[in-house]
Amino acid sequence: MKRWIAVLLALVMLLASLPGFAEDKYSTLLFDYFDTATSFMGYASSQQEFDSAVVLVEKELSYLHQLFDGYHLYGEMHNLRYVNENAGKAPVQVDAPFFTLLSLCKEMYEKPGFNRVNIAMGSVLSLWHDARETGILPERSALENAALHTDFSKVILDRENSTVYFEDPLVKLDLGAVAKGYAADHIRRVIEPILPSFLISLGGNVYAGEKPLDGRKKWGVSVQCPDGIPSIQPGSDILEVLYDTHMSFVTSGDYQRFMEVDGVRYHHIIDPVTLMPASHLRGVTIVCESGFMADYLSTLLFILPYEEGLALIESIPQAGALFITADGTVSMTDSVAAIAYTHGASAR
Amino acid sequence: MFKKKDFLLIGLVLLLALGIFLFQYTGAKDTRSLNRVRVTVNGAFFGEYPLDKPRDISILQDNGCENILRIENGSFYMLRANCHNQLCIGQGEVTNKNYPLRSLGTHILCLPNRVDAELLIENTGDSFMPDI
Repeated sequence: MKRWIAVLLALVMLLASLPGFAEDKYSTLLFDYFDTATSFMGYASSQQEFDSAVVLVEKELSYLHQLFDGYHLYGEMHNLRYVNENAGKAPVQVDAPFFTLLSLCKEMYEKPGFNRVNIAMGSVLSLWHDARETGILPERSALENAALHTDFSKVILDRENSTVYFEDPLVKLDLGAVAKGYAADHIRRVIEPILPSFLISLGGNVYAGEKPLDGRKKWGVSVQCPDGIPSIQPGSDILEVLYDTHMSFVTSGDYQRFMEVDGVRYHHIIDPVTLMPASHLRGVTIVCESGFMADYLSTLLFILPYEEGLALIESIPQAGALFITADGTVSMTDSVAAIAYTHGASAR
Repeated sequence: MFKKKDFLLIGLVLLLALGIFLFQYTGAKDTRSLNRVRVTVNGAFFGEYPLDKPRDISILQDNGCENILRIENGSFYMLRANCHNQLCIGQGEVTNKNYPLRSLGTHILCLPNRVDAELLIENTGDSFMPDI
């Protein structure tokens, strides 16, 4: 009898030693949210298990998409458009995730050196948004007039009542620089307990969870090569691959959303000082745990001159960056080099 | 009490376990193309096609969106699309060899028309291959 117990025990140990024995990689693409494609993948024991995680992802994405939509109203929901239309008249109560995002932005904005990301410059950004739709550049005078109503200190947040109020009724919020990274943080908290080994990309805002269950120790996240910059190998359009777990990766670049007028490229990341697209970098990728922070910092570092951005990122121990400067030079902080393919890192 | 034979059996099982463990963790494995392309529209299955027979696949939707995916020489690429940005055309071809080096990996993606064409591969945990 005892002999069979021993054999059984050994068999149990054998099964336990099979990493991810019954887990397969599943993936899906979702198109309905944040005007981009969301790619979600993870290791599950069955299609049903994965699908039930997708349902939760979609529920969260759908809610946050509506909440941070500046163009549509959804019933009685106090979303971004509702706030922009009403917070100049009286304080508007908003859901906790909305209030938290505004508080986080304000906290960051008030740090020395962090105020080149201003979510209160919606009136300026909407002129650039219209320009990309029509193909006609905004008038300088229109930009300057709009810039008169971008004072973040006129956005009053009342924590006790969870309300937002604009002391300047012409202020408009634009959450484009932070909403997707923040949304990725929310989805992570929902998915981690049920499907820990997953990766999500909200239009380039990536969060990689626990290690993949196929023998690898890390997820691999590629950084796309801007045109005219050498890639890792001839015939590739990958600039770098970064390998890690429990980490956010966010890239801001001039090569995704832009318009061209008379051969000049005007992309979508606007410097609040010049009111024009920032031009110091081709792209910057931020690696840090928080998706919100990564999203915020990628916009900030894209706007700042390279040396200023480098000094700033080096003052934040928990974040790293990969820069592609305007002349095509690629550089990265030590923490990013440590997980980069071109510096010898791999998924194993 | 345990007999010699029992220890032998337990030892064998443990050895097997160790072998599998080492295989899983150190085996230098590659991803392998399954030589098929799967097309989805708005996340829903549209069709799956072998890459060894050349053909054009018309992906026509009720809303008027249309993409033509061409399969030839064991590869596929977007031949035509009536989307506004034509980025899917610029994404080039996916072959059984080039997918680890593409930033879109195994995919050709037409975002405006919500069409995705994906090379099916066996995922074996390649040490280089990016997930995204």
